[in-house]
Formats: sequence, structure tokens, C-alpha cells
Amino acid sequence: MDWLEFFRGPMFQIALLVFILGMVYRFLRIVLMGWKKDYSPPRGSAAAGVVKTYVKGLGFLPFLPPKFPGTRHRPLTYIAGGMFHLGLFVVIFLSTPHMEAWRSVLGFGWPTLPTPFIDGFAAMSMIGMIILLSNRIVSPVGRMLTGLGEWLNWIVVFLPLLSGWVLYHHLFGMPYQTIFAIHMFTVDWLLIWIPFSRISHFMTYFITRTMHGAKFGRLGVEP
Amino acid sequence: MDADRKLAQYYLQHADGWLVAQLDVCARCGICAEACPFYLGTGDATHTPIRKIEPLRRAVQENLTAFGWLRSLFEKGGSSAQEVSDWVSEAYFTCTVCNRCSLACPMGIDLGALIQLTREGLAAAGMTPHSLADAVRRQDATGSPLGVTRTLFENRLDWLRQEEGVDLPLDVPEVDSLVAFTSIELIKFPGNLAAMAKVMEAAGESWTLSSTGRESVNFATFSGDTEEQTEFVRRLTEAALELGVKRIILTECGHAYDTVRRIASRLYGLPLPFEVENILETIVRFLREGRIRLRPDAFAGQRITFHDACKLQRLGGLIEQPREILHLVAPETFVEMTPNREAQWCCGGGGGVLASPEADEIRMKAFLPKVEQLERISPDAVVTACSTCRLQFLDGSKYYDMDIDVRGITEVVAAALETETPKGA
Repeated sequence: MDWLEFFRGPMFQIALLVFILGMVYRFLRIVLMGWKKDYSPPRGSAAAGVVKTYVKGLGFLPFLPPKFPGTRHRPLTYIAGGMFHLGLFVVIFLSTPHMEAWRSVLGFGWPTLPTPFIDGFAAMSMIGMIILLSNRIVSPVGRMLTGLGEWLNWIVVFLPLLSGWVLYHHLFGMPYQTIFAIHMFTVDWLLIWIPFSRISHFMTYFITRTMHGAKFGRLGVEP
Repeated sequence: MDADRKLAQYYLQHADGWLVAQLDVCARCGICAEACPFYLGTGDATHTPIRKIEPLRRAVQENLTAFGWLRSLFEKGGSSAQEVSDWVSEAYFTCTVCNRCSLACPMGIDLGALIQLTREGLAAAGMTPHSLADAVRRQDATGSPLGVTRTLFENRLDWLRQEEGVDLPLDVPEVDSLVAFTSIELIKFPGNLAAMAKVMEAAGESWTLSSTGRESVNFATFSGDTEEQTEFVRRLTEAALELGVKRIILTECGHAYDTVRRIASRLYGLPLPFEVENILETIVRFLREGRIRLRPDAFAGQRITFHDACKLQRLGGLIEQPREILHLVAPETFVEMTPNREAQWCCGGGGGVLASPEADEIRMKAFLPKVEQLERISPDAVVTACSTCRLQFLDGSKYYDMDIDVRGITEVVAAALETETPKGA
């Protein structure tokens, strides 16, 4: 078994298992620990608040930050965050090779985007990440909130994107097998890393957003 | 350090799925800083909202995460006195718990509630700043954080009855509404009481004040002392039950509306045995029932703006009511600050900040975003429905040498009351 086969085969399966078990643990811990119910008389609909908060949080704020009053000084952090996440989502789910990988795990596939689009989204995602990292280095607030964990998270997410990019463009004249093996290794490592890190916010986000929308909706305030 | 351990213990006892999710989800992006008037006014990164919950974050990280556990094997725990004093100062002096950061957070982290929990832990560990702890003790002993005893309260009412010639009924049972003022109004803005009496009379509302349930301010909300917080609400609600009123009307106080509704529903369950109404809702109710009318020319030629209070508007949802009122009294000249409503900039005085002398300097800096907002529309008067905001605006406009009138909404309404039938009607 060569390295590529190992990283695509047993190592990938182990990584996937760690990822799934870890995320299930994180999810169950939150649900089983429970939370206090708000007993005060409602002034509005919690459900409407949840819907609004997703429309705003997923579709609106990341791309039109000047509309939001909290970001007038550094709209770039917001835009870069939107660029990075959207790009990453498209690359992971809508590129053909990745869909094929999903198909091998899930057993079904879906339509994908033409490669040049994917290429653009990948570039956008990486540029977004570089802007976010520069912000962590340049701004005093960013510096204060950035520790070893944040650096490691950034590297662990950036490497699969970069290696995928090198793989697709056949850069640096590296043998296909080698760079593919590197790409798979970085992906495995990312999967293992996620449940132990703040990157797990891809799941927790939906919990806290829902709570946020429900709270503000109940108060009768635009979330 | 003993208090240190007590603090962590409190947080762990209160750790639930909500708390774990809130702390897990933070990507440490720092966008919350941009939403905070204390950060914006000072430019100091240490006032970033997410940093104000440091002791809470640390307790959870050290005890409820794998890495925290690993790290504890190698590192000796404990916090320095400097760190602890920094936690106290960040949680109490550089935050009004206005929760603006929560709206800016891409993850929707409920930072206001987290900072409140941080304060509760600090209070439980005996680390509340003296100014606030003293005010809570005073409220416990005298019934008012400003030391307004029952005798002082009754004397003050007598003085107002004579001075203003208004009816201020006290301890009258079986009326519709119990009105609870704040000591701040009683001492600093007695005009509010007279204005309220005029509005109530014009509307023909049957109402009373109570000598036992006379205070709506709850300093334990600021300090984070949950036991006293419940006790202070109980005094008010028990007075309402004893008097047999249909509703409690809370006057120009920011936090009382949320505190009373939340704690009363915990004490009595839903539906509450009485309604809890804010003065804004009362006035709008009178208007809609046609019980009072307001003159549209009452403030002719005066540009009037409204300051949304964090606890009444962002946390209370009373957003359209003040606008409905002000559009009636200043139909041509009412102007909005931007941003407004739930996105407004906090005045920087609430949440106990105004009551802490240690925060005097920084709260003026936190007023800066407000100064900027006001300068853009240069109004003649700013109206608010929160007495703490009103005090902060008075201090702030003096400090920044701004020529602007600061008014409470009840006084504005009383001044615009239509007393006679209009000609030709």
C-alpha cells in the first residue's frame, strides 16, 4: 500500500470516524446538558425570529456589511468571512471530484459546477483566509484574540485548500501521486482536528443562531 | 486564592448546554469590538466584549474541554490578583450589558447574557465593586438604592402634591394600576411624577402608588446578586397582589421592565396574576383608547430625537411605541439618529456603570458614539424613556459642551396633553 492509498483508505476512514464521533459527542453534550427555558411573557414569535436571523446571518450580513451598524470600521473582516465560508462550501460540495468522494461515502451524488467556477471559488476562499489572517496580525483586537489555537486552525484549514489548488493546476511539477497524497493527508488531518477545535463551530453555529433568533423573536426585537 | 475557586465553582454549577454552545462557537474574530461603545470610545482592545467574560471562559475551558484538562496537567492553575481586578473592572465598569455586541456577532453569541452570568459569579464570590454592593445593601435595608426610606418617600410625595398641585394617590386598594417609580426620578426628576399624575388624570385611570412596592430600580440586576434581585422584585409584586391591582406600570427605568417580567414569571408562572406594563405601553394604550389626545404643535419648530435605551428597546422590544408618541407631538420635526431601534448605540451609562465612580472617566468616552450621532442631526432635544440614559445624556452633553435639552418621555407627553376640546369640534 502506497501513501496515497493509505491516506485515501484506512486513514481517511479513521479520520471520518473521529470526526463523526467527536461531533456527535459535542452535539449531545450541548443537548443533554440542556438549557433554561425563558418563562417571561412573550412579546413576539420565537419562530419568526429564527427565520429572520438565518436570512440575515447567512444571506445578508456576510455580503452587505455596511448595512450593519456594527462593522463600519472594519467591513473587510465581515466580507472576508463571507468570502471564505461561501468559497469553502462551494468547493467541498459542488466540485465534481469532491462530490464523487461524497458519493463513495453516502451512496448518492448531485449535480456539480464546472471546474473554472470551482477554481474561482477556491481562490476566493483562500484570499478570504489570507485577509482574515492579516487582520489577526494587524489589528490589536485580532492580535489579542489570536492564540496558538487560532494559528493551528488556520493552517489546518488552509493546507487542504492550497494542496487541492496545487493538485488541480499541477503546480511546481510535482508528481500527481505525491501531491494527491499530500492533499488527502491534509484532509484527513482536518477531519481529525475539527471536533477538538473551534472549527466545530460549523455545527454549533446552527445551535447558537437558533437560540439567538428565538430569544430576540420572543422579545419582539429584530434579531 | 479562595475567591478565585469560588468563582470557577459558580460558573461550573451554572454550566449548561447553552453556555457550552455559546463558548464553543466563538471564532475569536473580534467583530464584537466594533459594536461596543466602550471599545469605540477608547480604541482600547482590552474592552472587546468577548474579553469581558474571561473568568467564565477560563472556568469552562479549564474544566470542561479536553485541551483544558490536558493543559491543567502541566500548568498550575490560579489567577493573579491583577487578573482578578481586571475581570471585575471589565465586567462592571466597561459594560452596560447593552447587548449590542450580540447583534453584531456573526454567530449570534448572547454576549449580554454571558456578561450578566460573569457578574453573577463575581457577585457570588464576593467580588462586586463596593459602590454597587453598597447600593444593593442600601436597597435591602431602606427599600431604595439611593436611601429613599418610606418616610422620605411620603414626604417627597407631600411636597410634590403641594408644589405641583397634582393628585398622587398612595396605597389605595382595588384600583386598576400600581405605578412604581424609580428613586432616580423621585430625587432627580420629580417632574416625572407630576407628569405621570397629569397623564393618569387626563386618561381617567384609577391608580395608586405603594409605600411598600415603591421602587422599580433593581440594583441587584446590576451587581449580579440573584437572591436580592428576586427579593426586590418580590417586594413590588407582593404590593401589587396585596392591593389587588390589574397591572403594574413601570415608569422611566431601563432594566425594571425586563427584570420584573422575567422574575415575576418565575415566581408566579404564566399567565402572571397581573400585567406588567412599561409607561410607553401605557401611554400608547391611552392614545389608542382615545383617553388622551396630544397636541401636534406642542413642540413646534423644535427638532426632537429619541434615544433607544438598551434595556427597554433592544431587550424589551418597546421599539415602535415611543415613535408613535413622538410622531404625534412633533409630526414635522421628529428626527431619527442613525443607527436606531435595536441597533442603536448605547449611551454608556446603564447596567450600573453610572453608579460606579470608578467608571466616571470611561463612561464619558463611551458616550462618544452618541455625540457623533447627535452632531449629525443636531437636534434641539433628545427624549428617552430611561432615567439612567437621561442622567448620562445630561452628564455627557455637559462634558462635551453640547447645547441640547434632555427630556423624559412622560414629561413630553404631559406637556403636550390636549386639555380643552379643540375649537370647532
